[in-house]
Amino acid sequence: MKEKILSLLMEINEEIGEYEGESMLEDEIITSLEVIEIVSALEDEFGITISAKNISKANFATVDSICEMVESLQ
Amino acid sequence: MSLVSVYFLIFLAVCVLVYYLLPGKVQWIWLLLSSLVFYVLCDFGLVIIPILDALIAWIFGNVFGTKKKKGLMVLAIFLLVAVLILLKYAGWFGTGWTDLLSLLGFGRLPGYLVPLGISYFTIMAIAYLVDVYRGVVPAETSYPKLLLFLSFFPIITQGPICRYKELSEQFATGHKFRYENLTFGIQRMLWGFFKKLVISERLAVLSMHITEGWGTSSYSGIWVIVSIFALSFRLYMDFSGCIDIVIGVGEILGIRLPENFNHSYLSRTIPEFWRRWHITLGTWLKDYVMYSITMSKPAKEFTKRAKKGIGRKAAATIVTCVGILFVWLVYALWHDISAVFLLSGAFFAVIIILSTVFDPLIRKFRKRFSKLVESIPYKIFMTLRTMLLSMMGAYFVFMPTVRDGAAYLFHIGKVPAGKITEMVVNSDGVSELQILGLDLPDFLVLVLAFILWIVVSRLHAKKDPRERIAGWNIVIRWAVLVVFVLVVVLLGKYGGLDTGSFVYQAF
Repeated sequence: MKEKILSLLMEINEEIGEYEGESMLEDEIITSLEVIEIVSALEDEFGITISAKNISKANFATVDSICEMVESLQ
Repeated sequence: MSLVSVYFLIFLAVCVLVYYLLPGKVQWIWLLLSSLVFYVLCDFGLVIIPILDALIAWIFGNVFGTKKKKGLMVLAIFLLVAVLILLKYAGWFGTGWTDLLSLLGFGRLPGYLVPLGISYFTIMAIAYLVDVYRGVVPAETSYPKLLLFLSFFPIITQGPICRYKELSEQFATGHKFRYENLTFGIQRMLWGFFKKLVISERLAVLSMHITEGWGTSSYSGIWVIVSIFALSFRLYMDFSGCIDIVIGVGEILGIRLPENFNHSYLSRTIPEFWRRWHITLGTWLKDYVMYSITMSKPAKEFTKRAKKGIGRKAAATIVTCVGILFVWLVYALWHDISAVFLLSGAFFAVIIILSTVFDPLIRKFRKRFSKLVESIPYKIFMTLRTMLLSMMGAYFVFMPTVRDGAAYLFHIGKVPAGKITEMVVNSDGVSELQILGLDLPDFLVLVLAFILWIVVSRLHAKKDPRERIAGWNIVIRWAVLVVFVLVVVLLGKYGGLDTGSFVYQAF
């Protein structure tokens, strides 16, 4: 699943693949616009519903944390 | 009672002394009592307002603990916002409404009735209710604990805007006295007093002819430019100085409060500026306005349908722009219902929407010209550009009307700028600084204080100066502290303007 998510994320923003930090939102790797794109792509791909309460620094910190969020919503 | 007063220092000393004498489990009760006493000393009859708001939040929060109905959520927010509108914007409802409030015992009428901190505790209550509704935090079963969260005395004046989770956990655990907390807290407070009394109050004099509407006939046009800079830095020094005092008080009590500023004027873009200025309001708007709109069912439905025709990026861009417009509308209305704030909100909304729409191009530019982007002249240019844009946005909110704001700006071009030397002493032997109310010694103090602020800010970017001071010999440490107290006491400017209040307190 991680590979699938990573490829979806890199379609939206290539920099995500190279990111090695601890907080993509705080480090401004992903913007508010890209958050909406990511949510839309993940909902379509995995048939989940991501709500406003899921949009947090912790959930969008790294590729791994996004994977954990998707898993928890499945 | 102002945070900048001897009374407050006495109040704080008593509060801290008793706080650390009490067992940890009951310290929060003492903080609640202290907060209510502080509020009564500031705004006697109006203490009923935070008590009422806390009651609304407590009742609905506990309902959401078992029953999550969107209609009730809307009702709860409506009630909290209604209290804010009916009191903060009382003047909009005519003299009948203000007279009625006057008869009910609310003083200072007719005119403007603003219970201390109402804008802050209202949005903190809304955030709490939304978090309970979303299941992010459990409902608080204790009404007094929720009241403490909304009325905590250091933050009631002008923030920072705190979240229930971050404060409630700290209230629940007792705090033992720590020497380091006391010294760090006092030093942070002193830095706040320095920014407020030594810098901000002098900048206030320089910008007074604009904020007090003196007209444009008595000075050279160049002073309008100086005043706009003075006005912006005054707002920064005044607001961030207050936040330094507040965070310092929190540290003395062992309670960590969120930062509200991060060297805002070093930002290179306007979106970055707003991530570094009034940070807690920015994150509140993002979490409770922006994402509530962009993650709503209608927005998702729109994205789903639109992306088939125009693609996902374009659909998401439209949704984001709508979210940004709402964020800046709420930003403007939260401050005041006035044309100048709506103009300021629109100004920043347009810039941020343009940044969002052209973000792919901007990224390409940065990648293509990475050497230029990383060069120092380019960074300086971007920083100055952002500073000027943010100052223009802030400038208009201090104008009585948009037309007045424009008139001052036109004055720059209409009146020939005076020679630089005439600012200090003109041909009649009178300094233009004096015409504006600031004499030469005050001007020199302002310049030196500004240099000190820049040096400390630069040091702070690498390491908290207080940690450096803590490593010094005790004699040197205390000598520096005493000298700094003397600097604030002796060089502070008192009484010329409304020293006791803060600019942002009005919001």
